[in-house]
Amino acid sequence: MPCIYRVKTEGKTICGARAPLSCSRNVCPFGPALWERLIRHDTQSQLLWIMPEMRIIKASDLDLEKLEPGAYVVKSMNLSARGRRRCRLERR
Amino acid sequence: MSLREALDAIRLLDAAGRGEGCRVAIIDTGAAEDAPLKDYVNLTNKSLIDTESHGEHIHRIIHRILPEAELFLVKVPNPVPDHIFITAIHEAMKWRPHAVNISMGSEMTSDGGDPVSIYADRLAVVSVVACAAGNGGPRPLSIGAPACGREVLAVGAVNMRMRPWSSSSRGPTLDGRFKPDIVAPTGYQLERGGARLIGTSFSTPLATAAAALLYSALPRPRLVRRLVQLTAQPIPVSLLNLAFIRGSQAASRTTVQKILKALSVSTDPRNIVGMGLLNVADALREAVQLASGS
Repeated sequence: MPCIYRVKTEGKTICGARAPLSCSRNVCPFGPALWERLIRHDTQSQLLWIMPEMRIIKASDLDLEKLEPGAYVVKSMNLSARGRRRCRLERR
Repeated sequence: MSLREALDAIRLLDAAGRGEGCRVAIIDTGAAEDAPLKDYVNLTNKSLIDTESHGEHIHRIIHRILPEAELFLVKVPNPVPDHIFITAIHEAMKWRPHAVNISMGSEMTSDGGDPVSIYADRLAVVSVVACAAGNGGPRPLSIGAPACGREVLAVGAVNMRMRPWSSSSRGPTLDGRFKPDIVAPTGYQLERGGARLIGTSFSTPLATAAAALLYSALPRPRLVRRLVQLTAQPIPVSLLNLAFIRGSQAASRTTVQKILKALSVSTDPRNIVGMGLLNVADALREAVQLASGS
């Protein structure tokens, strides 16, 4: 269960919801117990969304110093028709 | 089990209407050859006809339930990057449909702050947006965008015995909201002797069709969503036990204890079956009463 806010940039891992703070147990907006679960399976995305302005950028172009107050960073994601366990057709 | 039996279970057969005047949009992997479309947008470089054995079934199911409804389709690739999916939502919004079926989703859990969920919420201002919860169960927190949106109708699945389907994704959302909102049957056949359609993708069109019927009687999509939740048939807690235990076994005991300590709502039955099984006849009756002001 990867976290949509855990972003790696310039060699450090930040919390996109609380940028530019580092992703850590005490910073996590969802609490320390959930943080432990969220960091276990991390995936990184080539693209990031700067919210709430909804601007998509390359992950390498993220400049934390230029973030507006109230802005947050979300990983870009893929949506699928299949899911983790795919919808399936079962023939008899 | 046939589609007819599934519709009987959600009491859609009792409800009047073949979908006259209803507009339903589908965002999926393509169209069926044997069902009509009023209009479409193709966001891929392939033909409109589905080759993924997914969108064609969604299209066919909705056409079978609402044969007189106007159907619209936005074809997207599978998998689809979120920025293309947002374009698809934007295109669907232009038709101002009564209901939108989204049987695609992300595996990443969300608090509704991701762009896809936010756009789905925007669409939910003009249409009822029914989103498949996903097939990531029985893990808790397995519902991803756009089903995590605050205004969308997240649809989980029950099997044809009306018991929770163990692979139906579970809530809560990352910020602790209950999801899914309701459940509908999965595992039915469209034709006698045909393939069984399994997954929340195929329980969602039942909710979409019901929502389109309801929206023709009510002025706002938010009312439809709320009414669908309030009239749902509760699933008896005794039927939840098995699904509940399986969910607990999916994670290690330590993890479960930590999660339960921090997030007790993760074990709430509403995070497995939402408010219960879709009940279209009761929802329509209430909608007519609300509309007439009695």
